[in-house]
Amino acid sequence: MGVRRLLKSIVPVAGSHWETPYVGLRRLVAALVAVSFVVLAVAAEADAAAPSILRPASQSAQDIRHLSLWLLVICLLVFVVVEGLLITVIVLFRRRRREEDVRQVYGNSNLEFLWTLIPAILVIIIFTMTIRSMGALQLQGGEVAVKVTGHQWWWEFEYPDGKVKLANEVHIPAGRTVNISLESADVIHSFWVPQLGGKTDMPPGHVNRATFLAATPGVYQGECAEFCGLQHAHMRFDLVVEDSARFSAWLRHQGEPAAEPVSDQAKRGQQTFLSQPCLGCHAIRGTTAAGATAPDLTHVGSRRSIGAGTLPNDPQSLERWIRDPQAVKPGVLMPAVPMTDAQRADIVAYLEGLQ
Amino acid sequence: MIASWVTTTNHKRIGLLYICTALVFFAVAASMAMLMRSQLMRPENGLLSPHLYNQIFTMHGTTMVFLFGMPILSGLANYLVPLMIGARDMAFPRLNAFSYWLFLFGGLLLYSSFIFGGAPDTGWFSYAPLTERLYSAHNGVDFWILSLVILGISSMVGALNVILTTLRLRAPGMRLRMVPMFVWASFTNAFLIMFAIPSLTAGVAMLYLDRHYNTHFYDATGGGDPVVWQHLFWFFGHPEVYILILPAFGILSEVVPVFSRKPLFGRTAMMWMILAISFIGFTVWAHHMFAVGMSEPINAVFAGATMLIAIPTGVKIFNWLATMWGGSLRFKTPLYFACGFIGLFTIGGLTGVTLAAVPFDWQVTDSYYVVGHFHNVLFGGTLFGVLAGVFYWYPKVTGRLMSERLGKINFWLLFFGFNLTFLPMYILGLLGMPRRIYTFQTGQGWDTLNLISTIGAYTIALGVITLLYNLISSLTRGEVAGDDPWDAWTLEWSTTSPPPAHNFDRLPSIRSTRPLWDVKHPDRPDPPFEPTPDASAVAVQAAGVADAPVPEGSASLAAPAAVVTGEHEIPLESSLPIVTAAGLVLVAAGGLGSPLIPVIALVFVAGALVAWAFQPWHQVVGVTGARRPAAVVATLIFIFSEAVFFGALFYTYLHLRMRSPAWPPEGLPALDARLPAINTLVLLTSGVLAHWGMIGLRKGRRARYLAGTVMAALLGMIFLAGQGIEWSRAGFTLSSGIMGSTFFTLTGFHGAHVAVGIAALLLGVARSRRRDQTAVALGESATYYWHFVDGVWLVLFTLVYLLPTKTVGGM
Repeated sequence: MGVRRLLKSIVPVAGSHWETPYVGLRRLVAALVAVSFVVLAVAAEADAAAPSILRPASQSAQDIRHLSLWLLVICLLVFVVVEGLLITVIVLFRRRRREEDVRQVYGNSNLEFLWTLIPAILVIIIFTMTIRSMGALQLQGGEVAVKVTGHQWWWEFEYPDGKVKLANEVHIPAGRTVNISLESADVIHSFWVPQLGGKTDMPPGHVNRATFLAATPGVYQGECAEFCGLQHAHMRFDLVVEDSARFSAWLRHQGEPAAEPVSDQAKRGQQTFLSQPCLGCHAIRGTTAAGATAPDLTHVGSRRSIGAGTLPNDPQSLERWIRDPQAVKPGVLMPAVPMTDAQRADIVAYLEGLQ
Repeated sequence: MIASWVTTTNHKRIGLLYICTALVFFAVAASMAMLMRSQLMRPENGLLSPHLYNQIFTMHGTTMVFLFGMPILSGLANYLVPLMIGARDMAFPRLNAFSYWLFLFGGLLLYSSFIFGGAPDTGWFSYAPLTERLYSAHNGVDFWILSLVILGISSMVGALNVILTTLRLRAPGMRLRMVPMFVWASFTNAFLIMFAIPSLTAGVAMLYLDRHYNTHFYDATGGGDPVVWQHLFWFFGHPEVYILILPAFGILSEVVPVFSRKPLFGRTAMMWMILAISFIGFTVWAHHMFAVGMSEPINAVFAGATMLIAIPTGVKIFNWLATMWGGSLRFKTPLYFACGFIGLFTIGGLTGVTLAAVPFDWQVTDSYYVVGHFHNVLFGGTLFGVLAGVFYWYPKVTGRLMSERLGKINFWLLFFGFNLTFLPMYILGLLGMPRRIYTFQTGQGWDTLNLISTIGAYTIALGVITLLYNLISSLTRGEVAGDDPWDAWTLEWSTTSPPPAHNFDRLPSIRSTRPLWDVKHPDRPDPPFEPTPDASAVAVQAAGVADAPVPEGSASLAAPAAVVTGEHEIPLESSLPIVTAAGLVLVAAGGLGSPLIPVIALVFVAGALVAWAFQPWHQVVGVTGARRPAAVVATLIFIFSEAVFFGALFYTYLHLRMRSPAWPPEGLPALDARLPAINTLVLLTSGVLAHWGMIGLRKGRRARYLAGTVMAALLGMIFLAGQGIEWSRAGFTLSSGIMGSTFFTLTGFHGAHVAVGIAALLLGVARSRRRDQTAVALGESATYYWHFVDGVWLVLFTLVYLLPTKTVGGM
């Protein structure tokens, strides 16, 4: 019974109300408001965990959030007026009067002029806000340069000295302007770190630029935002904002050749790696592996994830990844290389040691 | 029985075929949406593989746009436009059947890809270079390209028919500005179709060449530019949104007044606003590309143009509300859907304005926010509008009312389901969830909202099932409707339900926009458009003279006298439309593999078209006299449409030429303009001769017509021979970088048009043995087309041969 009563209260179709939605209307509004609140409550909780554009970590994202909130205010205003009018009309004029009494009104130029003017004014306001915001987002100068290349389905980051090259993880210093140049090696990708600012597409044959001034140290999620084929869903990266000193240390470390394996297992792993097809695609600086079509693994052990954000970077996940990449990320260009479990464990030990 | 449907040229049958076929495709695409929502119900769900998911979201979008949205609106227009303007049938009944069969076969061609190697999986927008063969080796993309060409032809043929029907077949006394709003919206819409589709056709043609003939239009490594695809696609794609919404606006403007018992508020403004939206709609396409790296001023211009559209749209919303204000609202299902439309479309419009705010767009474009936005427009807008129309006109079509009870259950399920599905999507977009991902990981705050969205989608599914059940069960169980169950005011309600094959025995005289109101309320009729409606109004209208102002105080009229509709030839049945359509689809299907089939099919299509030209004339004779035959007007509009096609090719050529560091690019010879200059003279002479001949045809001097036209055709052949010689001497090929691609594509498409023009000229000559109006119409059409081909050549000659060359480092 309870369920039925509940249904009756939110679906205003039951009983004798077929012709008269008045009672139903109040329920409808109540139900819609209730649903909206539930959704908003869920959203508020979700926001804390999400790469949300409403929790900006840079000046640009902050500016856009500011614009967003003003847009929200204006839209809510119009929304309330229009939906309020709609509901008012429904309440006031549902079959009350005799049809003969309905005055046949064909229009009213003054009223129509009025409601042409009001949207026009709102449009002018929104357009002005847009232009001002676009102006404010143009950052000048730039101290750190990063070159980003999009691949199906991973990210390559290069720093200007040419030594530091890594995949799916990029570090930038807080409080300094970072110029990012964006290119694609194959199809169109789009560079998006929601908490740092808007997207920039990466059409092949074009070099696009983006500028960031990150304020708050932290790890931010980056995503490919343009559909780029089979594994568009698994083309992500981590953007690490850290203070200048830590950033410099990190950059210096990443510029060094790969660490020599220490344990016997890792040494065996290195030999296996270098004798298998791995080195045809991957590079590990300081060894003979110099492939350029797949992520550079020189400091792979220091990264936060593998497979462009597909799995966390830990030995179990890495083992799983190497055993059968197609099972983890169907369509990825890396094949499963046949080897024994022991060989695979060796390689995992070696790679995890490449801090 | 079935055979008579296959060969029918009756607009009501064709309309029904359109609507029913579109509903089947709707059910299929809706099921695909359910699969997608089921996959995204929880993080890292394994229901669909990425390959399958990508096919499904591609086919969902393509189907909803091309196989449901456009066809169901075409179907409604097919069924209703003649009835609403008091006509016997559409202007070109056989073409009407042809466009339906093309739609059906084009749709089947697209879906057959599931059997032959996999459906397209690159999205309905199919951004190059993902669609190039290097990245999409299987032929799903080819199926997509070829069926879109077929569906484009179908839409354009249908659009021409709507335009000419509206222009030529209105009942006596009904001026163009007096047509019902749904007719006006469909009429305007038809122009959008004519001018938007060619850009897509040009885009996919070049994509096909890239994939199969090694051209480099979208291939950055060969000098092409993938951004060109985006411009061509969205120059089509954005007007396409209005193509899908304008007829829904029209339906609202029919339903809201009838169920409010009041005339449409500000009708003239409503008509102008539809025109305004149509015009501005062609200037906003690049707002889909704010993130692509265009310059700030260009982004700003497109943002401004986009926001402008909010003004006419806002006026429409307020005018509907004003129509309801002071009325006596009868809450039948159509009005439910109309109110739902106003409520939900408003959200779509508002979020659309936010997307025009460039920096905000940078954040939310390609995120779920956009998915929410356009579903508010296309589901809350188009679908709700269409359903208002379906519930409203069902009794006219079937003679029975749909169940009100089920209708309202259906409405509430869709309404709640809709909000539950798409409201969370806006938030997901703000929370950073990108579009078109087949799965997502947990821990990003997206789990619950996706679950809510999926629950909403299942609610929608219940609503759709209710709808389909209602549609079918009401056929036999529905309450008998009578001719005019809603006490409505437009002409379709003056005939029986369902209407007879010839539509009307008698038409009321038409003095205002609500002819049946005038009949039912002789004591207080609408203010008439004409001071003294009589037969002379017809002639005035045909001459296109501006409307006389509405006189003051002329409200009292004598009871309108009925007039009998004019003489019509009864449209015959014909098997040529389906045969030609099948042949044409076979030609397209040949593009997937062996070239032998299409060549045979092409011969077959050509034969069918010739037979078509010699069949007895099917044109419905209009009651409004006119200067030019309808076929000639149709040809002129088609020529403008063709101009857009060549415009797209020329734009591509100029864009790529400017991007190239040198022209001719390194290693390629400069073009020699001497032979083409002679060819220019040849073509211009032939144009003069053709025109001279055509004037002879008009004056009835057949010998002069034959002499002029045959000589023009011969000169055309000499031109083609010259073109062939130039090609053989060019010293480079179609695949020689961007210059080879553009040169051979431009001259090739032009040459193909020359060949078609020659065929049309000669067909006119052959047909002229029967000295009838058809012969004159065909001869005139062919000549105008020939002039167009000349004109294109002049532009081509200037741009390809006469522009200064440029070397590296200078212009």
